[in-house]
Amino acid sequence: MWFDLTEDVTLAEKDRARYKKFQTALYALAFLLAAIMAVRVIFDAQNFTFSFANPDSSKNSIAVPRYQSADFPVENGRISAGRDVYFDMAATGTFSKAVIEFPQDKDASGINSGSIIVKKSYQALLYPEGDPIGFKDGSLLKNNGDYYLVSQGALRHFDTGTIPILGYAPEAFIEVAPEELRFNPAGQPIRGDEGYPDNSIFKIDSDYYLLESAQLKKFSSEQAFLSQYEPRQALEKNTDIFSRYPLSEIPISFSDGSLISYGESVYIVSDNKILPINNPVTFLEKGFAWEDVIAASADEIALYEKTKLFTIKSVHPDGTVFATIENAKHYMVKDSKKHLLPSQNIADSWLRHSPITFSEKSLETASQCEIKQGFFGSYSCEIPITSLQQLAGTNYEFIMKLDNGTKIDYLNVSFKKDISRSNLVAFVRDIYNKIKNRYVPQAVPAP
Amino acid sequence: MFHKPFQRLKPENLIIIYKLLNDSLLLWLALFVFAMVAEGLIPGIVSQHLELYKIAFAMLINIVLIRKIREDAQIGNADILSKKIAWPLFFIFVLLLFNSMLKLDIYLSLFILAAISTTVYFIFKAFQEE
Repeated sequence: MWFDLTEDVTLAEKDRARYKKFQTALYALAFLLAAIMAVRVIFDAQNFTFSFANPDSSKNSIAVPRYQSADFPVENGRISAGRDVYFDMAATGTFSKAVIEFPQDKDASGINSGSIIVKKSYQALLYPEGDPIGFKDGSLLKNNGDYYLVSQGALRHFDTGTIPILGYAPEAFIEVAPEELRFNPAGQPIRGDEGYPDNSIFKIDSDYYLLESAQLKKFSSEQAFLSQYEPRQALEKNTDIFSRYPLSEIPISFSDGSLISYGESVYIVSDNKILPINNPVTFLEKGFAWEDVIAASADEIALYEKTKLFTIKSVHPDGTVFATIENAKHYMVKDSKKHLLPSQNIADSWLRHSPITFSEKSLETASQCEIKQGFFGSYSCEIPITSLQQLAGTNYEFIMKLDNGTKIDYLNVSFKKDISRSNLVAFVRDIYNKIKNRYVPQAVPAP
Repeated sequence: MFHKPFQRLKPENLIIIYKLLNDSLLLWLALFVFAMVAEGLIPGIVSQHLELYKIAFAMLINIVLIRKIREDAQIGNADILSKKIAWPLFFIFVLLLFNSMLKLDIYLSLFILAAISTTVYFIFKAFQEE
């Protein structure tokens, strides 16, 4: 029996045979188009672009191409000979190759030769390396019978006999190696008759306080204190201390890099601001762990200025700590640089949650291609990137070098997938994870 | 003016086109429902590649053409798709509605769902009345 939606509209036998042929062709065409659509969805390509004519356009999905640092952008598409040009973008998914295309300006000279290298990592890890960072303010350290407090970045030695006068217990200090102490500059010695130095930490009743500029700043909650310090670092005092050090009106909240939640939103704390994370995919792709999310109260959220959304394109903010999988080498992001935390003790003084892990290989592994001339004066380069897919991070950094200077109008980058069984499996796994993230509630603590 | 091209066609050809347009409407509808369900599960999975308004626009054109040809070919006002697919469509509509209220309290979701379903049922009945 033939499938006919309009059985009551009859046709002569000859015309009915014609209709059947057309109907079969229509359904076959529909299935073919559906199959093409399915291939497009499953083996999805992601496209990115940057127009040098409109560098401020919101349609630009590639970060402004630059020479080494953001302070030296490529202006008007003019590329200097022999200089490395960097351009970045965030792409999620497992891709097989990246195709870079750039039509050349019609008045510019042709490109003789050139190459493009690509690296994959978190964007903050591709920052230049800054000076190593020492212990965090408030750290209590000891070495060979000498006791120290880190105050305003400096290492301050407790004069002999000062420890019992100020009421510190020797167990509150952690033993460190002498070479670990050299990352904080030496400060003035601490004398018992001068009172407590800045960055001393106190526990008064059940609340925690930090001494700054002779005023006690209260931590907004115990959770906020624990995001920065350990309870052993706090000196127990009674309320008499307020007669010497008045209470500041400015409270202290969570440490930079902390993940806090309120309602269904999760925020990253950085530099007295909070950045709302736009969705669970971004949260996971950026390497965060649900176990590290701390429930904050409405009052604590109100202490911060809420800034722009943290999306898959965003760079990890200042205060984020990364650690290598291979040898637990720690880096902290600060002022558009990544700073080494030179020892485990130093890293522990900053870290109260798990760092974002990455493979050290991601900083070294790269793939390369040679630029070729295509049709109509455009140039292209196809880089296999399968080898980069196992590396953590969503950021691809391309480094282009041309042997002669030229001018280009815009840059196009397409990330493509080969039609393969492994990419199909990756797609199914990705869909499963997305559905799970959407329908299975995450273990975000309630306030 | 719009229906003149159809009047030039032979009646049997017009009926074949009419039948094919009904088939294509079913295909568009299947694509639209599939896209809506997929979007409900994973937002953006279809709309990143094909905007849903384009499917809706194609369906609208298809329906307009069916109506025009039905008038030109003087085909009776038969209930074609509505009775056959109304209930599955209604079921999918309810599922999509429930999916969109996932973040709400379950009892509130069920109450809103019942209220909307009842309203839709009575509106449908009101339009059915001669």
